[in-house]
Amino acid sequence: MKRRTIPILILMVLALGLGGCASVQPWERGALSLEPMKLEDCRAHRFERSTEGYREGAIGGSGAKGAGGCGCS
Amino acid sequence: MQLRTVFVALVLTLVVALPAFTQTDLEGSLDVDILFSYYDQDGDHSPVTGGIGSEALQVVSPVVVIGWRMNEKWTLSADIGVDQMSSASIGAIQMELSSASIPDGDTRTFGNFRAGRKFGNQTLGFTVGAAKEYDYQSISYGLDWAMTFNQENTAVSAAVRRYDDAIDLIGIDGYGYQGEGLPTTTGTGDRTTTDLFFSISQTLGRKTAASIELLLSQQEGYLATPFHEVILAGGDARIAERLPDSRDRQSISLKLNHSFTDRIVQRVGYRFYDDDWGVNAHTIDLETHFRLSSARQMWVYPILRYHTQSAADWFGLPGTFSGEEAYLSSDWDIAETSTDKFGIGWSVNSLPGQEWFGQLDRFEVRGTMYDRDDGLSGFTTSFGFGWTF
Repeated sequence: MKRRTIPILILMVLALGLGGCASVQPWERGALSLEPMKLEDCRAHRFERSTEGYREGAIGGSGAKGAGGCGCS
Repeated sequence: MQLRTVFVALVLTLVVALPAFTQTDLEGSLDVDILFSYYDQDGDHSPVTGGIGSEALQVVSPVVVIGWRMNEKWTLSADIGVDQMSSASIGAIQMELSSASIPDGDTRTFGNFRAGRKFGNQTLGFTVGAAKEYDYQSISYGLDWAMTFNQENTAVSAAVRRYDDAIDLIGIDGYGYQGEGLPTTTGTGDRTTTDLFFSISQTLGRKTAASIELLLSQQEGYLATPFHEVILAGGDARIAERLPDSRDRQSISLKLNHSFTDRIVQRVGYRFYDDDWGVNAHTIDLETHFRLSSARQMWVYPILRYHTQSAADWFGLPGTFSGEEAYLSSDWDIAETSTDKFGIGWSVNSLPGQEWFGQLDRFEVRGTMYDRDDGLSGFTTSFGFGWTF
């Protein structure tokens, strides 16, 4: 259980820190609305993530070798 | 086979229905993205042949992603796809099962469906999914929640997803065979995976955004791959890989995007991973996006990624096991390795009212080389074509 406590604590501390960050007004978000500024991956990136999930044991359970399927041979 | 039928039926329905959608006064909108990928790899550490032998593999993957914003509250989305694989190892596995027909390919089909509803500044969603390959079937289901506040400068989200898998126990020399003197397994093995996901994203200024993501994953059941071989000391005897029946994984990811100018955006990602099999890892992702002169948002970017991981406690080189170990594996995917990935990407996004190649609204292409320091190398090229109706 201790293994999981540390990252959760880190997450909570960082969350509290981020909460105090500047608030950007809607009319100031020009740069933030640029396509590469989106925090999620582009859609075509999913294939590389999938490959990395199979080829690296250090990827989370979902969608990879650990969660069904081989794709590994 | 049923999943393939469903996939074909859905694609046909989509093709027939799209013109109707474009001519109807929908309250919302419909996004359709067709994605395609080709992956090619080679190496000489295949776990199917005990950590030696060809890892040559090619995968062709078409995927259709549909998102329908029905109205201000409801969103439905689905993704359906196929991985068509061809590899020397699959041929070796199937040769053990049937000498009459030895195809060297395999097909994995999958589909996911999500329904989401907005409640003010919160969103609640429900997901179901299924996947099938020749030696396993998987169903999954999950819930997700998200909330934005602070004038949409802060977003928090959480999700839980459960996967229930059934695995045909194909052994190293036909169904259920684990090695000389070992009991033969029969039937199917079960595997469950429960993923918990938390994330916080925050704008840090007019030109900077960041997020923190935490993934906790717990797996139970048959976690070994029954047709993975382990070569014992002396080099002659081979038995099946043995791995524990539980695994707890956790990772934390940090992302930081910064716009230096309207034409240069830097994306940085770092991920730390740890599990109770002894594997921990560090991963860094870097992409620098340069905007090209165009009326549209057109960006080109180099891609860099570095990953390093320690080995699982049960990993060993071929010929180093006595066979008496509780757990043993020669799968290089859980070995101590470092990998480099580099490549280039290009994306185009039309602005509202613009047309590009007919009604195409989004286009992406990426090409990357993947090099693992045990000699495995791979190449991925992927495309995305998107329309909004």
